[in-house]
Amino acid sequence: MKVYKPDNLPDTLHLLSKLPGKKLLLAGGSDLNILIKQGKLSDEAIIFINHLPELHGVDICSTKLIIGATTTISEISGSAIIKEYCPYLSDSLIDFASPPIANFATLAGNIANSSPTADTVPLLLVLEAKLVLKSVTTTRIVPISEFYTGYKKTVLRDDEMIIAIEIPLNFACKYQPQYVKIGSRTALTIAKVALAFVKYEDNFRIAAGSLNEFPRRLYNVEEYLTIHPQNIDASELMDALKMDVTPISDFRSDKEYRLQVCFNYLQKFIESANTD
Amino acid sequence: MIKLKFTLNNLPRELIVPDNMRLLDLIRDELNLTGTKEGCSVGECGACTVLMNGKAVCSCMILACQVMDAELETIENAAQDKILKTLQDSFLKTGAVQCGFCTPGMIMSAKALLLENLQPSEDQIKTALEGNLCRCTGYVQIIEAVQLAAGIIHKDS
Repeated sequence: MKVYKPDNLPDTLHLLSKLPGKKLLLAGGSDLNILIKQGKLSDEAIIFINHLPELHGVDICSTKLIIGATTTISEISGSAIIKEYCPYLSDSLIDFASPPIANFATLAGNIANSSPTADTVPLLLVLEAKLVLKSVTTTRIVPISEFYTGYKKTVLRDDEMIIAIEIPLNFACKYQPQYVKIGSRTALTIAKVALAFVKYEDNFRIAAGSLNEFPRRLYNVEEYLTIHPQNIDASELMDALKMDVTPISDFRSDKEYRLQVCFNYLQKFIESANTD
Repeated sequence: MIKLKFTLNNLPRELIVPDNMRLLDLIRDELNLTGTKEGCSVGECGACTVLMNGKAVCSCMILACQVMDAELETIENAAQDKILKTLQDSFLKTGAVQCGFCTPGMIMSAKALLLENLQPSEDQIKTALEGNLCRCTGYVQIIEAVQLAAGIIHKDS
């Protein structure tokens, strides 16, 4: 394991493009540092980025919120800008880990770590957040719904890094998504099921975590609800949900429980949205 | 190896450590400050909680080289620091210490809370301490201890 501490973003991108072999960016390190301690990383080059000011902070422009890659979960949930424009995002992050972890873990790290249970991703999916991916020669903006391609697989190239997360303001300000995370306990828990839900005009955006190889939108459920705005048939809704999710049984929960709890919250959110 | 510069309990420190050394190992093994405990090693128990720039962090999940130029504080600072000393006394008064293994981490998380809020509600105390596990007390006395300390410090401030 070799450690690099570049002086600025251009040097970081240069390292990413020129270093051979596997490279890992370390911002907070709440995931990576455990692997390092357990001896699970050996040949990887570790590039520190948490000290780079250009990647840090929450900003706003006329059309979007911009969250820098090294901004911590605590900084985002405590940000006056986020509280004003996305209060539900701020509230959802209270369920993220515990304060001694949220104080250095980052949003970009949670996304890049590509866990199927990544707490922050379902809500970002319904907000149609975008990731700014940069290399020495390219900058591309990828919708978070297109970022994951499989279990722990993403479209991120070997020479690229996430430099920022963008949240479109027009939607985020106008609608109030609902979010629930179900674990074994309330605090400091890993999700068995996570669900983000928002109804806008006659349409829906719904996303789930812990039910697939990566968090994803439930497009079949969204389509079913758009076509059947009033007379929802529970078994048809369940059929649509089964087309969208592939829950597994593991030490944390079993697939039947995960599916049923997701379905129950889906019904609850639909009812609550229809009575508003 | 990496050359580190930081302050620990208000004293400037400089030392050279391996790239992969954790902050917890730096504190316990290099600096011999064994008040900070190692429990789960994966951020679930909070026994290793220390303050970094006034914020509670799990020292088992941070590498030593991430603390360059930071201000660190460990439970040993209770010898000088009024908030830590008051918390320590309050923990003893309310019977919040049984085996004592979680206590240093609990007190550091409680100090981080009191630095931001001297009149915390019970829920705010629970949230601040949610990353710290105690297998002895059942938490009631610990919450009472933080309320007691907050009251004393608030009155004096």
